[in-house]
Parts: sequence; structure tokens; C-alpha cells
Amino acid sequence: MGPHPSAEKTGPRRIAVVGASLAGLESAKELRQAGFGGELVIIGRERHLPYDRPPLSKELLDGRFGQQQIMLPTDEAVDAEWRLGGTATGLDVGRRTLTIDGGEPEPFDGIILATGADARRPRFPGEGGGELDGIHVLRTLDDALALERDLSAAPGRVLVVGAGFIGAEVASTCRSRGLDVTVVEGLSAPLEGTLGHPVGQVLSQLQRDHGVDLRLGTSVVDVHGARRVEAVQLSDGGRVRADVVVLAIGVTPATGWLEHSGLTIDRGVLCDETCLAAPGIVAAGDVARWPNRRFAEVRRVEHWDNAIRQGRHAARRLLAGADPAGWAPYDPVPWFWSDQFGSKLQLAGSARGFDELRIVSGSLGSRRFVGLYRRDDMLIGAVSVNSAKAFLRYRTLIERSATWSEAVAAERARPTPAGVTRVPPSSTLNTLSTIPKGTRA
Amino acid sequence: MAMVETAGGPVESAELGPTLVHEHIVNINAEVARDQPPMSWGPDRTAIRDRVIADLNDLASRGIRTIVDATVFGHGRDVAFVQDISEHVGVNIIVATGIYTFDHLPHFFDRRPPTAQRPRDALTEFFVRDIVQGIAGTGVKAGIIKCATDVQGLTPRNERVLRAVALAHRETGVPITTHTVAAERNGLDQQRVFAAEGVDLTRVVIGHSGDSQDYDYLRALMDAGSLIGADRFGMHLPGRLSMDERVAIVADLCAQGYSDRIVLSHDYTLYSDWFDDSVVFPPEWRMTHISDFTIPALRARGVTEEHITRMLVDNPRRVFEAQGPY
Repeated sequence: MGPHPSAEKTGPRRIAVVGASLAGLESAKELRQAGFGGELVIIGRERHLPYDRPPLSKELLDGRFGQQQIMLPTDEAVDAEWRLGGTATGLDVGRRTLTIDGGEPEPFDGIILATGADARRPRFPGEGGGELDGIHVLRTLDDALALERDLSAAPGRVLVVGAGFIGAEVASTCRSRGLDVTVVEGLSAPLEGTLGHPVGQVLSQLQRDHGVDLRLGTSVVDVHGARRVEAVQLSDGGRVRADVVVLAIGVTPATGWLEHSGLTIDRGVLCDETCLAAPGIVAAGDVARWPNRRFAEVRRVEHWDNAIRQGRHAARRLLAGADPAGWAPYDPVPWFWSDQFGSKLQLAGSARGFDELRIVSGSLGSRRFVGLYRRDDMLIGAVSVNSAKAFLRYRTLIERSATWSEAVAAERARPTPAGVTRVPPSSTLNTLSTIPKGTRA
Repeated sequence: MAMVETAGGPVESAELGPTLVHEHIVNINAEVARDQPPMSWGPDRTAIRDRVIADLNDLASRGIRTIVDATVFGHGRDVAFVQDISEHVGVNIIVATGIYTFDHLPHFFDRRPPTAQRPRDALTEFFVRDIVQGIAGTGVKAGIIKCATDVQGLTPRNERVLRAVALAHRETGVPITTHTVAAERNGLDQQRVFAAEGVDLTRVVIGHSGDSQDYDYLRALMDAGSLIGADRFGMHLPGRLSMDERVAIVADLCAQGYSDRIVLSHDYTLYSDWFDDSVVFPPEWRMTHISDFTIPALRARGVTEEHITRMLVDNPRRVFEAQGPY
């Protein structure tokens, strides 16, 4: 299966961008900036023009921003046919056609998949699967507006399920609105799986110091209420009253419509390292799963920064067509931030499967620190809380693919070393944690 | 003092330390993994390996020193994988032999029952080889034998498996651990078969007993000499016990003087090919749940440090220290 004959000789004439959020918008802008003068169709499932999602859990939710303040500028991609409120329901890889809103399949020379992800919403055992009023997810502008309306009604208690980035930000905003908040998190500490237990413990304490009733190591097994939610049942046997429940338990990539497309769908649209999913088809943003050669891992990245960079990369890759000169691998250092409870948390790189976390600046106790993640002899990630400047230096080191020895040497070479602290193994098994590993005979 | 076989070689029993007696590293269907590897491992086996290592080191950071990988034939055992990761983690991993079936047997075993002409069951032979010679050419030897009885109960095939396990146990001296459905009280059926084969029931851990609030049943198992596994902490699935209920059982039995007959675990699997992405488990079901939540909850219910050390350290050690054929 080769490129479309017309595309091979003259470049693509007609391109579809499926998904009208940040990744889709950035790819459309990049197409135009790179000189694509053909027909551009942008299909967006939501009725809104592209908007910025980070404020949804913060400024929009606390009422500081209205809808207008979060709209993204679309003028650079102005020369496009926007089909908002439209849903792509089918893709044929061989014919390179899209079915939109159940119409006739439309042919395209190039297709950019940027359909993002949907908030996970579990079914509960109760009647109707727990579809009660007052139970929210937070992914879209409409989700945020609906939640904001419920919060404005001054509910007695908000319960947030999941203490990840979104859950913590929603909890933070609710606390700043003066609402009572319970956060239910299955892990032993927020973001423990992503950032490691010691950093998770800092975030636990941060939440508790701001008055959050943080319930760790448990999860919601059922919701109760007549028409509107009144309480939730926890797996530890507890029951918590709640007037508003926010489910912040992650997302699933929006690939349902691609199941029979001929693409490889495996926890996202599986791409090669250049973001190509099939000839003439690329993917970007939350929906794309690709091998990042820098970290030797295949994953999706759900960050704002990645939506921009991958959107642009995918657009360039699409225009490169069959010309290997344009087949650059996409190997970014993912970067992410979260504002919660007056603190700024940042992560660069990846902490997955790290062997060691070392605090190289500040201290966990002061909630002002930079921690580095080592895997083998590589510096793979950096985390910081309230240390933006020091963080930047390590982010640069990761981008330069610094080894661990180089990163640590860079720290020592600084004129006023901040002090290097190895994080001791944390333990609630205090009486037992000193027992050494069995000696091999 | 005795030496206990682990994926990293023999370890002195005194060095086992806090031990989780019933966990799973991976469940990988051997034939699927051999013939269509991505269907079992997904496209990125390295990422799974990294995650398993990270999770086990996280566990080690909580002070756990040993886990029993109760994964056996028919369950998705991959000893080469376990041996590989064991070199990168700060916990000892005791691997198991045995067979995980509720009734069905592969033709290989089904057609090789014990007969008058050939009294030795092929199952027994397989288990003994795993224990004495090692598994899959890795040199790793099994340190425990596992079998399972489920809702089907003691079918003729299941009884054959239990007898084969009993014989392999008596021939090698390595302990026995089981899977049961506690609501069916079938730990008692297992004990009956083992006892008939001359097994010392103090060498047997009746697994998944902590799923039951039937104290008469639990005390009967322990009064006969066996240990019970309160081994599904964190498995808060619909229709199963909550954490408070699971903790209450252990606390009550400790108060009744049974702390020397209870062992703890999660029955958690770090990576399983059994389920696709649509199956979601409770997020708190992890190998650190006991360290982070169960033990503080037990303390809050008045369980003493002495009892906790007994369940986590002394009892597993006693199970693995009792050695030798009989």
C-alpha cells in the first residue's frame, strides 16, 4: 500500500484533522505554516472552537475565567472547513476515507488523528450503574461548566475520586471556594505510581494541610442516592456523605471508532517513531501511542505541551509523505506542570521504572525541591515542587540525554551546592524495615 | 537453620524476613507467549519488565524481604522471567511448582494417571523434578507446591491432583499452599485428602481463607494444624469483603490466640495476560497494601507488634524451615 498517487507527485491536496482540540489545532496551523495550500477539513466532536484545557480545573472552575478567556486563537488555521459538533465514525485505511456523521465515505490524501481521550466513568453496582445527578467527570468545557454550576450551589461536601493531577487540582479549587472536600485515592500516596512514594507523601501532606480529608488505599465501590448522589461506599468499609462527586480516575484514548479501520489500536493509535500510523495517516496528542526512542518506551503522553509539539511534528511528517528526509523521529522530553494548593509541581522526562530518586536541591520536608530519577546510568526524569528555576537546569540535562554521573557531577560543580540527599526507603513497617535482604548462599 | 530455594538461589531461612506468602509476578500463558508473544505480553515486554522491577523495589522499600510467587503450571508461570527480575530487586522470590486447575487436566497429565503398572503419577514426577532438578533449565528450584480447589469441589481429577501434591510434598519436604473457595469450606476437603496421604497438616497453608467470616470454618482449619492465608488484602471486588471486614477477621483470630496460624498476602499479580484493558481492579489492590494500610489497621484494632511479626515473619519462616522427606 503506497501513498495516494496524487499525493506522491504533487503533495497532498486534501487533508482532514480529526479532533479540534490543542493537538488538532496545532497540526492544522503547522500544515498552513509549512505551506500546505490545499483543502483542510477540521472535525471536532465538541460544539466549541478549540479551547485550552488546563484552566478547566482551575480558573474556569473557580469562576475567575469565563468561556471567552480560554478560547485558543484559531486565525492561523482560518482557512479550514470547521465541522464542529461532527463525529468521525469510520476510517478506511486502504481507501483513506473518513465517514463523518454517518455520511458517505469522504476521500482524503492525508489524515491527522487527534481525537484525544475520554474521561473514564465506571459503572457502579447500584441501579442505573450509579448515573446520579451530582456525579461529574472533568474533561471538556461542558463538563467544567456543569461542575462549576454544581459548585456554585454551595454543596455541603465534595468528594473527588482520584488524587492524580486533575483530582488534586479540582480538590484545590474546591478548597479555595471554601468547600469541604474528601479525596479518595487507591494508592498509598497521590501520584505514587508516577513520581514514587516519597514525592507522593509530600503531596499527601500538602492536601491534608489545606484541609482535604484524604482517604488513601481505598476506592469507591458504590454510590447512593435517590435522584441525586447522597453518599459513596468505600472499599475499606467506610461511607462518606457527598453532594457532588468528581470522578478523576484517568482517561481512555478515543479510539472506539477506529476498531475496524485497519490501524493498530492498542491502548491508543499505535504509531511508528515518526508519528505515522499508516501511509498518509498520522496521530498526535492524547490518542497517539508511539515509541519514544529517547526513553526506550512505547506510551501515550497526555500533557498539554505534548499536544502542541506532537501536533506540529505529525503535520510535518504527513507532508513529508514518501520523502525519507522528512521522517524525523519524535523523541521529546515530556514536560508537565500542575498547580495545586498554592504549589507548583513539575515533571520532565519519565519516572517510569526508575531505580533511584535523589533529591538534589531543597528538601522534601520544605516542599521546595528538585528530585532526579535514575534508571541504570541514565538521568530519565526530574520532578520539582516550587523550584522552577533549578528544575529548568535539570530539564535541559535530560534533553541532552545526560548520564546519571554527568547529572550528579553537574550538581557538585555548582558553586553553592544545595546538598544532595538520598531518599531513605519510606516505611510504615517501622519495626521491620531494618531487616536486611536475605544473603545469598 | 535451613536453606530455602529462591529465584536467586538458596537463602537461609533466618534471612527470609517479612514475607508475603501468596503473590504472583506474572501470569503469562506459556503457549500463547511462545506462539504469539504480543498477544500475551503486549507490544512492549521491556516496559512490563521495568514496571515489575519498580513495583517489587517499591515493595522492598516498605521492609518486605520475601514473596512467594504462587504461580504454577496452568497459571502462567514464567520462571526465566522471574529469575531475570529477581536479579534486580531487593526481595527474595520463592517460586512454586504444582498445578492450577479446578478440574480439567491437559492431555499430557490426563492420560498418565497412576496405575497398577505405573503407580507414580506424572503430576508427582513433574512437581518433584521442579523441586529437585529445577525449572525450565534455569537452575531455579521450586520452594513450595500449590494446588487449587474451586467451586467444582473435590472432583475425581481434583482429588488426583491433591494426592499427587501430597506425594511430592512427602518425597521432597517442601510445603504445600492452596487455592480454595472459602465460602465452600473446601479447605477442609483438601485437609482430608492430604491427611489420608499422611501429610502433616502443619506443613500446609490453606489459601484464600481470609475471604470468609465463617469463624468455625477458619478455626477448624487451624485446629487441625494448618495455617490459613489471609491473602487477599486489597482485593475489594464487588461481592467480596471490604478491608475493614478482612482486618476484623485477622484481629479477632489474633485475639483468640491464633496468630501463630495466620499468614498474610495480597494474591496480587504484577502483570497478567488474563484480562484485557476493560477489566479494572481496585487501585488499592497492590503489593504495598498490607505494609501501608493493613498493618496500621491491625494495630488500630489492638493487634500487637508481636502478633504482626508472627504472621509476617515467624510463621512463613516456620513453614519453610520444616524440611526433609517423611
